[in-house]
Amino acid sequence: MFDLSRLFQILCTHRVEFMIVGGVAAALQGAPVLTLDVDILYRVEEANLVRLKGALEELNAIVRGDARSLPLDEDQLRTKGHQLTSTDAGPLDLLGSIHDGLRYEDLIESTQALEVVKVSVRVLSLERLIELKRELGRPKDVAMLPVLEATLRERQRR
Amino acid sequence: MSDAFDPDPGAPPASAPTEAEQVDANGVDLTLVRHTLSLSPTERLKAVENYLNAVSTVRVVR
Repeated sequence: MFDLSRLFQILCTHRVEFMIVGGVAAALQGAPVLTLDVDILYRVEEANLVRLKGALEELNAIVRGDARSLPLDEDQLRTKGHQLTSTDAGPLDLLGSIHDGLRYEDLIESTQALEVVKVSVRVLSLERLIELKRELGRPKDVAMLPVLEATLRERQRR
Repeated sequence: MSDAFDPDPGAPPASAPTEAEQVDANGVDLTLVRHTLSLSPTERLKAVENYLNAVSTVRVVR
């Protein structure tokens, strides 16, 4: 069962520094895109990792695809890689970096704060999402570009 | 309140939108884009949540 409201509320309650990227970031900014996962880019910094670990414990996060139902440890979160988890609120992909090693600090200036379900979350801007998807050039990224670009154009016309 | 009389409130607007106004050159449905842009971020979040839960329900049924 997906409960994105609870997911974001818990991350914010634990004061985790993160931004929403990928399809959910696009959808929250008005792009009519469908996605099956929630991707967040988090700040890889010791105090933030402790806060993130606390949030993941509250969400009962375990490593996705591992039958042993193991929780994530801080060493796993400390990497730049992608950690795929299952939580009480649905699947959550935790990214230490995106694209070619871009970290939270590299992209924070390209985010905007959105008020959703009474919490303020940061999302990667539509403009930056489009740039990154263009640079990545993978079929799945290129396929989403026309919708993102149309959304940006419509938004600018308003 | 306007006192203008509308003889047929169910009739289509005098100038119906053209296809170019509804679909862009890449085939993107602009009416859908305008609809999602008209929602608040919380409403958009709920729409994503509803979609994810619907897909998840279908997966369980199968």
